[in-house]
Order: sequence, then C-alpha cells, then structure tokens
Amino acid sequence: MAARTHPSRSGASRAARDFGRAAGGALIFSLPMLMTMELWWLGFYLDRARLLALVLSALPLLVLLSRHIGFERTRGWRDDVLDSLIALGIAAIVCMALLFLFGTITHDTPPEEWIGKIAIQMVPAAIGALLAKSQFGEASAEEEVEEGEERYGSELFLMAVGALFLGFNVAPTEEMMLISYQMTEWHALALMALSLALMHGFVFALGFAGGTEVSPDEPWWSAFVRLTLPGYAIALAISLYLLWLFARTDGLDADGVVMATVVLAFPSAIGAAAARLIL
Amino acid sequence: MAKERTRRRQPQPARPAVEWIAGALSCALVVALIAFLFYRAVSEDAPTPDLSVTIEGIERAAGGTIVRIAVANSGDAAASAVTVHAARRDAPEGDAGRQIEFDYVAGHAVRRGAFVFPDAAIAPGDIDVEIGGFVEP
Repeated sequence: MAARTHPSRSGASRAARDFGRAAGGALIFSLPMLMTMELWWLGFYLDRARLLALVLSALPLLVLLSRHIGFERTRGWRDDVLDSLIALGIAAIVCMALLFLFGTITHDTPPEEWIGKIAIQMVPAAIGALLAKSQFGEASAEEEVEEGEERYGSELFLMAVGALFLGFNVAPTEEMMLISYQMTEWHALALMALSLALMHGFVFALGFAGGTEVSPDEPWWSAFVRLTLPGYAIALAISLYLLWLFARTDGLDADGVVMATVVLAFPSAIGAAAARLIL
Repeated sequence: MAKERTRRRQPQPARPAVEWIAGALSCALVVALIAFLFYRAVSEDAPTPDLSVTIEGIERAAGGTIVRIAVANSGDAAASAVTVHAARRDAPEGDAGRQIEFDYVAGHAVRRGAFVFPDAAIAPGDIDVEIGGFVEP
C-alpha cells in the first residue's frame, strides 16, 4: 500500500495506522455478526455457490465503496481494487482471530467449515474496514467539497451500502422469518408505510448533502419521489438478495417471500436512509 | 470557498431526468407491492395451516437407512413446532418409532428433513409417517 498523502509521515507508520484503523472498522462492523450463532451455522451449511456469489458480489461493491470512502485517499481504480482486496484480507484475519478466540473455530474444525464461517463474516467486516476512515478519521475541507460534488448515483449507492449493512445484521436470524410468519398482510402494509415515513424523515433531516440536496424550496413530494422511493426500492432489492443468499426464500411461495422481504426491508430502509450517519 | 458553498445551497432549477425516471420506476414497484399485499389481505379468510408429509426417498448410509421426507403446508398460515412421527409397520411391541420437529413451516411452503433407521433394508411401504401436531407461531 503506497503512501499518498501526508508526505511528512513515513510510509511505514502511515501504513500501520491505516491497517490498524481498518482492523478497528472491521471489528466494529462485524462484531454483532461474529457473535450471532446463525451466522456460524450458515458458514457450514450454506450452499457453496451462494457463498461464492456473496464474495463475488462484494468485490465490485467494495471497489465502489473505496472510490467513495476508503481508509486512505486513492488516485485511481487500481488503488481502489487494491484497497478492497486489502480490506478483505484484514477482515478475514480479524474474523478468524475472533472466531478462534470465541472457540467457534478450533484446531480440529474441518477446513470447509472454517473457510465458510470466515467467508460469510468477512464481507461485512471488509465494509467496516473500508469505512474506518469515515468512522475514525476527520473529514477535511477538501473532502467536504468532494461530497458536495457527489451525484445522484453516488447517493443511491451509499443507500445500498447502508441497507446492506443493517440488513446483513439481521437477515440470517430466525427472528426475521418468525416476524414475517406472525404478521398478516395488513401488518406488512403498515410496516411498508412506516418504513417509507421513517425513510423520508431521515432524507429530510439529513438533507442529503450533495448535488441532489433536498432544497427547502422544493415540495416534499419531490424528495419523496427522487430519493425516498428509490431508496426503499433499493432496500427491498437488497433485502430480497440477502434472504436468497441466506437460503431464507427456499421453499417459500411468492406470498412468503414478499412478507419476509418487507420485514427485512424495514431495517434495510433505515440503514439506507441513515447511510450518511452510519457511513 | 464561502462563496462557492453559498452558491451550492441555492435551489436548483431543474432536476436531471434520471432522478424522475428512477423515482417513477420505484413508485411502480412499491405500488405493485402494495396491490399484491392488499389483494392477499382481502382474499384470505381465517387462514390456518394445512400440513401433510410424504416420503421423498430412501437411501443407504454408513449409519443406517435415511428416510427423506417433505412436509408441505398448503394452508395460508405458518405453523411452528411441527412434529412428524415415523414408525416401521413391522415394529415390535413397545417401539414408539421416531420423531423429528420442524421449527417453522410457512404457508404454502415445503420443508425437508430425514429419519435415520439403523436397519439395513427398508422399503417405502415399510414405514408410516404422519404429522404429530403444530403450534401457532
């Protein structure tokens, strides 16, 4: 990893600081999942093709995330790819160390099991590693200007990351399915209304600083149509993807899939709308 | 810098078309979802689980014979703690057979499981399987 800013600092100390910060971010973002038993189980029973899909879909997401918020300032796409791979590596080390410490992985755990457990945990941890800068670092004036120049696509992308982060926390749990079984379609409709209302509250409260900022001169429905509805659609799509990934849609009919998706879309929508706070 | 920030905060006269297109597509998706849920809500009448179990296959393994079963819920409501019993027809007196439990079987869903018998050779006709019961989630 090359030193790109702060020429006064030595490359080694800067690299050590970046690695340490990334490891801290990985720890914060993955700790709830590292201590959730459903995720340990998914590590050994989840279809390997889905696990591969998770890791492969995470790579472009991490590269784009590094483009927006990395643990160091990058000069180009090659740096972003490199940083994404470093983030995955740091995440894998953090997850392996903690799972070993928790006794979830032992010396006699079969390789397929511990590889599965680490693979499933390292994706949210890698997001945390990349986001470490925004969590621990101080935004400079230059960065603020860059945020102001972000476009609509960037805002939707950050919404997707926010939805993925909160959705990933709860999607593997049994409670998510149990809630959808307990609810009727009327409950689901009310939950959709609440999700949209809360999302819109966040959209207005945070103002979505940037090129598509919510202007006080605009009617409320403008931001609702341009930001809240697409944000909720993204939350629904991310929720459906996570449910499929964790084999929660297996054996369900369309009604069951819709109900579970609406339930998971509630935390995902909050994550999407509050992406500016979380990320 | 201060001037630039002030300029940025001024209301923008027109939003790019892509923002409205994304909004329209998302609106169509949400409206379709609402219509689907509303239709399901008004068309359901006191939903109850309707459970059945079938033997899907029997295979030999080192630990005995594996009898694979599928529990289907053709009702609209989910059932939890669904128990399934299996017993050999030629079982000796006092043999209670075997029982497994599914945490949940959602409405119109299928869940799969298996019984393990230590016996060497079992045919589908040798075993009776039945739903023991369930509780509401």
